[in-house]
Amino acid sequence: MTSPRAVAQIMSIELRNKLSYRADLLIEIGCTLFARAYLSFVVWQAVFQQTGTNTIAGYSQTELLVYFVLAAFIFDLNSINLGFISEDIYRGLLSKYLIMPINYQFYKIISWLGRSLVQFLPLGAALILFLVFGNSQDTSRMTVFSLLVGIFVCLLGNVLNVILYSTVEFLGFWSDKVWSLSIGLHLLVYFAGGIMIPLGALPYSIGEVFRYLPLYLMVGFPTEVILGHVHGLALIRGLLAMLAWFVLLQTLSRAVWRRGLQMYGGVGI
Amino acid sequence: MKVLRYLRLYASLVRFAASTAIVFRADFWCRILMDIAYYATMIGFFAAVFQHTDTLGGFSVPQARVFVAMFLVLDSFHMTVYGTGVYSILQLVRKGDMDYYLLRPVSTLFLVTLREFSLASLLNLSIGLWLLYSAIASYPQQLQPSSIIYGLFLLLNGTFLFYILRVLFIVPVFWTISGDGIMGMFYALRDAAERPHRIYPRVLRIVLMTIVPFALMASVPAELMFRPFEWSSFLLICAVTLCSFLMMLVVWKRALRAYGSASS
Repeated sequence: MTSPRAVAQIMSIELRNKLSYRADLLIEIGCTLFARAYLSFVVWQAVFQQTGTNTIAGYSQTELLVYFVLAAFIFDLNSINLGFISEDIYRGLLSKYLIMPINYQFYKIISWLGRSLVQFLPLGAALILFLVFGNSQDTSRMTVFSLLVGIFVCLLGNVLNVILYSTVEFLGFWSDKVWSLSIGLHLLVYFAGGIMIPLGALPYSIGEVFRYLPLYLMVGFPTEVILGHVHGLALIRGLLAMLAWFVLLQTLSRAVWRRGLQMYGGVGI
Repeated sequence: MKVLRYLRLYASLVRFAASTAIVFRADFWCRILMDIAYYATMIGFFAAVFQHTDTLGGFSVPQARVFVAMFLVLDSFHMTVYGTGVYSILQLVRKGDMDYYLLRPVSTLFLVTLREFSLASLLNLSIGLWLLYSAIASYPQQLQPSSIIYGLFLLLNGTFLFYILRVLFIVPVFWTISGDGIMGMFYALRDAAERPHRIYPRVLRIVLMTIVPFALMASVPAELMFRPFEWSSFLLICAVTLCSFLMMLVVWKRALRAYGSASS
């Protein structure tokens, strides 16, 4: 069992690392995130103008803008690299983690939490501002309850994200370079996770399949929960799907990790 | 003579890349999968958008097909020829490894940016070219051969412009050391180029066509391909490309002067 003090220390180190390049961080939050949200939104704005419709996939124009900002934030939280696990394996740097009195995957989750703390602040502030000052028509479905449940789901989604990505990265035990697989997965999350497009805007059958994939549960699902578009039975169904994926991926991840460790020579290239 | 020497050198780099691809077989297939995921994302996105509208940014479905294929060709060319090389500049500067390249008796820019030829992406480039061919061939109205040649010329210019912009966005690392933020900005602008430029507000559109000319890479060429030839558009594209190229050379020279050779 890792002591809370050790956990706090890891988080603090990661947070300080993240803050050491402040200009980068500002550009990342200010430009990259908002640019990503804007680029997703501007396409749909053009569709709104072209067709004269009031809603697409159940979202008004303003709601869709908030959807994309939120989705971009949550996607960015997921995108924080896991510390290049496969690179650790490739270079033999994994050895130092193996002698630490902490589970490697747990260490990665804690590190992620530390790094992402700084990104939760603008996300929270933006949501509160939207809740307080937003037009009641656009925020009618969003409540304090949906916000709190959504943030909880977001955290669960990120744990799922760490497990999913680390399983892929563990393939580094067998192959020298697997970074392209992680990027491929990242791209799939971008589309099937609902960052470019709300799943409701996809053809029904495809959207329904995507709803049960971890890609959506990591990003699109928390976004829709925060905005109050998912509640009641759909919320429970989503949470159960998350739990099922958690058990499945964790089992797979552990199996891959154990097998991989048997092959690991502790020598880097 | 100098050109021949560089061509010979480049041929050696490609041969070396081929042997590396044979050694790292899993990486070879993973890269192909990665690019396929990207293609699927792009095509799926536009297919989904066109479920809700008939035109987007002035492009009908067949025109959007040509535009998407053009962008995929552009991106796969970038991944094949210079993507990995330019990206490696980040690490070379951070670790102080640029020294090895500065000492070589050839252009540092040439060597650093073009040394990592990707054989896996070459396969994807051929898929992109096939997509472009089928998009043009299935276009409902007959396109004039001169329009196709003009479009392809502009696409070629777009690939050159992409290279210039990639370099221009990575050189700040010589001063800032951590280039993550600026790279994030580059990717955001690159994503902007993935969409038809007519969907952007006027001011942003002008910025994307002049100051950071990402729209001139695929969107504007695709649009001009379907319109009668205009000297003004053609000259604007040539002038912007030339200015960007000269700026890249100047900034690169200054960046090398600022390089401190220290690792971090």
